[in-house]
Amino acid sequence: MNRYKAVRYLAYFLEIIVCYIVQTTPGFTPEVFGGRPVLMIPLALSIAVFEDEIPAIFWGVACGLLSDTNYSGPVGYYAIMLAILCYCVSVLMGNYIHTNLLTTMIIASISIPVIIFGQFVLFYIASGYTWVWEYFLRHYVSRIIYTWAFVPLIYVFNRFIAAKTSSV
Amino acid sequence: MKSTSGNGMKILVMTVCILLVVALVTAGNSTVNGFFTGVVFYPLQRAAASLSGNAQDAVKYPADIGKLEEENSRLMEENRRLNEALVEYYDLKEENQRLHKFYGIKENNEDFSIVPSTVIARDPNENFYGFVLDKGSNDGISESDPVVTENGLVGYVSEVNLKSCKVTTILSPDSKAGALDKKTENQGIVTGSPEYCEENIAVMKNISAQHKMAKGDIIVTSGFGGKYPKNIRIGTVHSVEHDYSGMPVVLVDPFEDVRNIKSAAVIVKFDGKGEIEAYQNSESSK
Repeated sequence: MNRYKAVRYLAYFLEIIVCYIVQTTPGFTPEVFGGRPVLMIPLALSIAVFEDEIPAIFWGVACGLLSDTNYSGPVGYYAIMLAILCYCVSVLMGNYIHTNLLTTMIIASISIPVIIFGQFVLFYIASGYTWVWEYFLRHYVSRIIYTWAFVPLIYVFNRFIAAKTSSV
Repeated sequence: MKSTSGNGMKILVMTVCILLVVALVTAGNSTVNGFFTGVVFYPLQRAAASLSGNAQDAVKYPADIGKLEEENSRLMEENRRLNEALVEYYDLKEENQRLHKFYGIKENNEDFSIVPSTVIARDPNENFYGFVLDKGSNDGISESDPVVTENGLVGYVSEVNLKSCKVTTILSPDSKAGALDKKTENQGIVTGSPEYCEENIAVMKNISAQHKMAKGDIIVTSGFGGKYPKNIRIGTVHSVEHDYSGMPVVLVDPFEDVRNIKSAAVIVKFDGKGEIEAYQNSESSK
């Protein structure tokens, strides 16, 4: 591993820690219309757009495992989803799509709703709670939009890291 | 920077398989979760929660900040020492206030053993405002212990790790507390409802059709079942409604704003704790 890559990975590590703390600490991200952002999704996505497939999977799993730790559910949902997302994003961005903010935002506008809706199906609907679609509209839609709103900020930060640590 | 690797798909499949096995193994088992939340991230979360609380206090009392700045300019040489002393003072004051609140609970209920604790995490993925406290099995907390504040019942411990525990609030449909109207003696079960949780309202069900409950009545725990102690305040009657089958459902306005609490106490021991379970166990062993 060259020096640039090591610095970049250290930056990712610190970024993940900071985002995890901001995501889970009460009072850091205020609730808006019943939802708070899941920062690990835009973070994993923004890392994957600048990384090869295997590192992208690794960072996706790292972000996912952290997301899985604090809520009442088995470890694995976010880890699996973010591993798949990061792999797909890395392949797409490496071979078929130009990497820029617009394409990242478009991918985020598909992937964030898919991941959060999947969680809703597995951990809300499957748990047998009532008032299903009203609850989704009042708590999950705002969570999706709020999470999506963080994509540009995290993308720009990661682009800066990638530019500064590019060995080419 | 990017290069295409043919091994990516194989590694992805392997990773997903491993994670699926981990998910299956850890379903209903908090050990792995507990390792992360209870050991690895516990100090960070605790520090961040403390920082967040201090920042919020600073916003609430801007006059104190002004005073501090003035003091700093006059006493430059003692700046570092004074700031450290001040932070320590605020921490101790907050801790003192927190413990004093719970001292009242202990004073009124001598049979209680309580563990005061601080909310260190609220995950955005958690439904019904569940949260994480900074005390765990090392402090004597076990699953199903009731969680209260000085204002009343908040919920119960649904998962315990070494140094932290997860709380399911009374706004969750998973929470079920035997309850009693203090005025009319009508009994029921207080639980959460997805429909009302956003407004910090719980619901009381399984009430007699001939009930006499009315708006403003005080609801407390009945103590029946041994999961919650008797006479813990829950809230007041907000309104009386009926469900689709015509049975009465009482909306309860909790005394505590469960969505925003910063500290709580876990009752680890009380008279009558687990009496139904103990009875059932003794019956099944006969």
